[in-house]
Order: sequence, then C-alpha cells, then structure tokens
Amino acid sequence: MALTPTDREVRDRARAFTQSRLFPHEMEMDETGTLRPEVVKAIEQAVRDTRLNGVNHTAQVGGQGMTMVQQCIVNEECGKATGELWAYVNQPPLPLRDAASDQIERFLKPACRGELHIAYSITEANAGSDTSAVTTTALKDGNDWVLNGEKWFVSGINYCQLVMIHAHVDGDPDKPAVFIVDSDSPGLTIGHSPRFMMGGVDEHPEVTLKSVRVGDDRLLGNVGGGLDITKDWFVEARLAIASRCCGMGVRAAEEATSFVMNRKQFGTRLADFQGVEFMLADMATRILAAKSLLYRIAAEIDAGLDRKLIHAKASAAKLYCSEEMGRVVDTALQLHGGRGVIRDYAVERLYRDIRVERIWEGTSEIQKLIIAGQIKKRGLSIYSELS
Amino acid sequence: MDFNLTEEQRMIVETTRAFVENELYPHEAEVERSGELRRDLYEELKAKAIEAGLYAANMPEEVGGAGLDTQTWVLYEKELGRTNYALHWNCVARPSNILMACNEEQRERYTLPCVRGEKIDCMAMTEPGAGSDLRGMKATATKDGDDWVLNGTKHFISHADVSDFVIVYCASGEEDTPRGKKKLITSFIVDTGTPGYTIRDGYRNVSHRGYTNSILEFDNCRIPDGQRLGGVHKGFQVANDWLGATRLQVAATCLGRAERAFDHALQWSVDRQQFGQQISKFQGVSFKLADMAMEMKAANLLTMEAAWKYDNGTVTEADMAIAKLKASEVLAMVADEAIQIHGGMGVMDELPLERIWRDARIERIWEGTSEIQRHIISRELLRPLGG
Repeated sequence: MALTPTDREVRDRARAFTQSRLFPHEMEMDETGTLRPEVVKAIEQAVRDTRLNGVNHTAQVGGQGMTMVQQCIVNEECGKATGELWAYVNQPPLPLRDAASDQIERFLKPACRGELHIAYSITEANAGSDTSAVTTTALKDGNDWVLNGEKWFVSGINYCQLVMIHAHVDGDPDKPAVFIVDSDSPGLTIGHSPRFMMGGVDEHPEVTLKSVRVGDDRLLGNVGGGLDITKDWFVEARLAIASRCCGMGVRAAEEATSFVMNRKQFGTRLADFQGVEFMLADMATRILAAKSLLYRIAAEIDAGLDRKLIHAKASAAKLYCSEEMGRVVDTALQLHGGRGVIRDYAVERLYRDIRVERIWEGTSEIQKLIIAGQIKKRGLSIYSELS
Repeated sequence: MDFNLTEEQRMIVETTRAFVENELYPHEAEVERSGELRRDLYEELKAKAIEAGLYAANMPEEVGGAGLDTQTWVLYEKELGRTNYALHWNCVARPSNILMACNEEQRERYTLPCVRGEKIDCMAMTEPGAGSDLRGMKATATKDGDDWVLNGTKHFISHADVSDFVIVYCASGEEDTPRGKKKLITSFIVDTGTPGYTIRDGYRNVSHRGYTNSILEFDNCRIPDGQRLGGVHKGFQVANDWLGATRLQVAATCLGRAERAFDHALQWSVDRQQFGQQISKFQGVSFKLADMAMEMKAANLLTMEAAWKYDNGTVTEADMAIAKLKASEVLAMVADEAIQIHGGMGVMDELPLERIWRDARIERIWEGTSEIQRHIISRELLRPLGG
C-alpha cells in the first residue's frame, strides 16, 4: 500500500499542526496539569483552521470526510504530543453518525464544529469490558427516561457538555441502550476525580446519576441496540489508540536516534556500540511492523471490510501497537540514559503517557480474549490470510 | 548453605518493616503529591529513625553504626526499599561507606557527625558528558601552593541540596595508557557554602518525587589539602576500596518494592470479581502471578548469594552487576504486571503502584545502566580467555 497525494497532504498538515500548535504547550501541561483558557481557545481555533475537526465524520455533518487511513494518519501525528494534548483535536463519538436526524442537527454537527464536546461513559466499579455487568439503569416514565447509577473513569467530562451513558433498560442486560445526557443535568454529579499517572487534558472522575431525567429524544438508536453502539465506540477508540501509540513510538525513536548519534562515551559515538545498534534495529522493526498492521487494517476498512471483522481486527491493532510501542518508548528512554528520566525530555513524558494505552478501552488481556473468541468463531484465517 | 535467617536478622527485618509501615507509609501520599519532604516532617522522622536504631545502621560499629554484615544490611535495605526514596533515604540515611576512607581528623569532622545524624553527605561523580565513562570527566583539580582549586560541573547529584558536604571526584592529571590518554582522579570533601561551590536545582524526574537531584558548579573553588580524601590521583582506589556494595543496595531496594507491588496484585486478584468470578481464577492472571513470584525469587537468591560472597571475600564485580541487573529488571516487570492486573486502578495514585512503576524506571539506569552491567558481566567472563 502507498499513501496517495491527498494522504500525504493530510499527514503534512497534521504534523505541522502538532509541532507548531501542540508541542509548545507540553511543558505547561506537565508542570501545571492544565492549559490556560486562552491557550485552549487558540488551539481549538487552530484545529478548525487546519481542518482537523471532526476527522472521523462525513462532510455532510460537518466532518472532514476522511478515509480510515487518513484518520489514522491524523491520530498518529497528533498522538505524538504528550500530556494528551491530542484530545483538543475533537472527534465526536463515531456512533453519533447513526443518530436520528434531529440528534445530528443538535449534537453531531455542533460537535464537529468544535462547539460541543461529548464524553462516553461505560465503565463502573464492577463493569468495564464486561459490559453485561453494568448496573446503571434506565426506566421509562411517560415520555421520559430516568437514569440511575454510578460510572467510573468518565474521561473528559470536565470539559464536555454532553455525555453518552451506557445503561440497561429496566436493569435488564438484554436491553442495553445509550443515552445522550447533558453534563449539567439535575441529578448528575461529578464526584471523586482520581489522579492518574499520565495527567493531561482529560480528567477521569466518578459520576453519579440520581434520577436523571432525559426525554425520549435523548435515546440513541433503540433499546437493545446499546451494545452494538458501544462496540462501534470501542472499535473507533481502539484504532485511535493504535494510531496514537504509533505516533508516540515514532517520536520516541526519533529522539533516541538523534541522541545516540550525538553522544560520545568511552571515546565512541553511542550509536556505534553494538548493544545500541541492536536497540535501534529493534525499535525500527517494531515500528515498521506496528504501522504495517495498523494501516493494512485501515485500508481494509476503507475497502469495505465487514463490521464484525473490523471489530475483530481493531483488537489486534490495539493490542499490538500499544504493547510494541510501549517497548519502543522504554528502549528509547533507556538509550537516553539518565536524561531519559528527566521530565523536560519527551521520552520521559511519553513513558508515563503510554502506560495506560495497554489498559483503557479494554486491557491487552481483554483484546486477547476478543481475538481468541473471534478465532474460535470465524477461524484463524481472518487473521492469517491476506484479504 | 543455610537459607534461614538468624535470630538477629529476623529481628532487624521485623523492626525495619514495622518502622517503614508505621512511620513512613503514612507520609507517602503527601510527599508524592507535593514533590517535597517538609523540613519538620523530615526532622521528626529522622529523630524516630535514630531512636529506633535504624539510622546509619550500615556503618561499622567503630564509628557508631550497627556494623551489619552485608547479608543483614541487604535485608535491611530491602525493607527500607518498600517505601519511596524521599522518605527512606533522607529520614533513615545510610551515609556512604566511603567515609571510612577519612583520616582521623576528617573522621571527627565528617564520618562521626554523619552517623549521628548531624551531617548529611552526598557524592558527585557524574557529569553531563561523562556517566559511566568516569575517566572521561572534565572537572579538574589543580594544586596551587597548599590548596587545591576545583573547576567543573557535576549533575544528577542525589540530595546535594540538603547535604552539608560533597565528596567530589575531579581529574587531577593524565596518564598514558595502552588505550590513549586517561584522566587521573582525586577525591575531595567540599563543605556546602565553600566560596566557588554552587548547588543548583536539578531536573524534574519520572522517579522519586521529593528526592532531589542537583547540578553542582565548581568555579575556582579553593580548598586546603586537608580536604583531600585519600591519596593524590588515588580517587579510583578510594572508591574501589571503600564505596562498598552499592549495586547490592540498589538490588535490595528494588526487591523490597517488587514484593510490595506483588502483595497488592495478589490481594487484588482475589478481591476483584469480573465475569462472575475472582480474576485470580483466570489463567491470564494466575500465570502472571506465577511468573512474578518466580522472577522475584530468582532475583532474591542472586542478591543474597552476592551478599554472602561479599561477606566471604569472594564476590566479584560481575556477581554484583548480575544482582543489580536482574533485580532492577524484575522490579520493572513485577511493577508493570501488578498495574496490568489492577487495570485502570493501577495507574491511579491512590495505590502505590503507579509510583512504584515510575520509580522502577530509574533503577535500570543509575549506578550503571543495564547495558553497563552487561558490559561488566561479559568483561569478567571474557578476560581470562583473552577476549
């Protein structure tokens, strides 16, 4: 596969944006845990000016109408920024593409314009990848729905006006449904916000829903369709993670390569010690393998891959890219020696940032369960054969 | 061979662990979040450590220490290593054994006050351009009458900002060797506050929040010859004769932290239910626990064997390098898997795991990177064969 001239233009645009608009604010984020409001405003404007808003949606709803390959390129480039600064490159949750037309007008279009931010909430104390264990309930009351429950790790709700809530209608796991809820709804309270190792744009607080009332127009799709909707969200999030991990790995390897080409010890350039050469070779091979996997799947999706196979393969991409790029970042840090643990160096921040990629949106172990399940269901060939 | 602890060893392990758990654990969160150890807290904990007989226990009895043999000292370090560096290293200081190289007059001024907790030592070898390649150092010491004049920069100097003096290594000359000109090194004791000696803040770091590192500047710093530690050009000999088993200290503290992370993971695996059962019932989790236990046991035995050999006068550089390399890499693996078993909880700062994971990273770098340890091990294997 090769990049088209348009793909390359997208890459250059996303790369220039990341370097000029995100990199300069990394230390402010690392040192203060936040960015000043005027800085955020300027970044969000730059996202629109650079046409990187809503890259995951069609032009009809105000998105960029990009191919999956191009979306991965944008996520890879923006993912190079530390402190989750890529979160400013807003991508409204994919399942909204199937929303009712009035929901598209009210929620998706403004979100693509960057005027609305939307979080997605599934996890609870005892339910994560095991969505059947969700205990948040939705009960019909006249024309309204009444939601009750406690959610964990609601990423980004600190700046999102809306949150999509995965709940079980009547408490029945066979009736999953997703509701679009205002973050400031009466009865919705944002509770304890645990401090995560990586820090960054998003907070991941606990959210309590106590008799939160929403109209029927806030139900996305239909009752019982919630699991498919959430699966679509997982697929999108997993491919985005895989892409960002590639970006992190590439940046770390670039920094490390340049470091060892310039540093001398024992009278020799570090890059000329065999122990170092092997590390460089390992990093490069891992990056080549991870990007090959990711972009092949992206190209297959653009060629019309079946939805169920997209789900199967997105898990492989998320697993492989997060694990292998985690190793690349570790090696890149090691090549920096003592400088690698200094927070002014990108590798140190990448090291803290990348750890969670093996955990959220399904741990590596959950991805393996999905992959093994798919092998048993559809045969090894969905992974072993070139389509 | 006897793998049992003596009665005395068991007592020291129990006393140290009780002190660490009761006196130091309660302050971990504050130190991690604020990034500093309050002066009054430091004084309070130091007084308690002295009271408990744990302060400077590594030092020989003739200077007021506990005179622990290496095996017992390693057991004690292991317990201290369970908590964070800022707390255990500052409040339960282990003065460098190199202070035993002091002459009688220096002993009164430096060694004894350090053991009594009245003075704090630190040591400076590393420079921006010279890490493990010590003989590439640029800092100089020039004889001028009865004085020495020091010039140069040292960095990554642990806790220099709270120390009363530094033992610094400088190039005092050059000699021809088969591999070209090499620096001759002399060590000196420089009091904090000596004109020409400046301590600047070091770098913010992925590991060890609250445990500072500094950059030291020597600008025509003049000191009398009485501040010289050991013979002229004998700096390496002083280090080799007196520095002691610093790599075993790193290994031991790593093992203590690995054990603590493991205990958390083990407990969580039986407490946490997913998909209707304890997660420890899943082989994906239980096999991880088995691997972690096996690796920790291996690293423990390697470290204790090296300590035993140290006490018997048969230890080699490679023995200690093997222990340091294995223990630091096992800590990295165990901390990583402990987080993975915890899922999202693992990266939150409410458990000590994300800290142990971050702190683990520097262990593969300081006191010689893993690559330097491999160099030491292979060199010792190959030298007898002319390799």
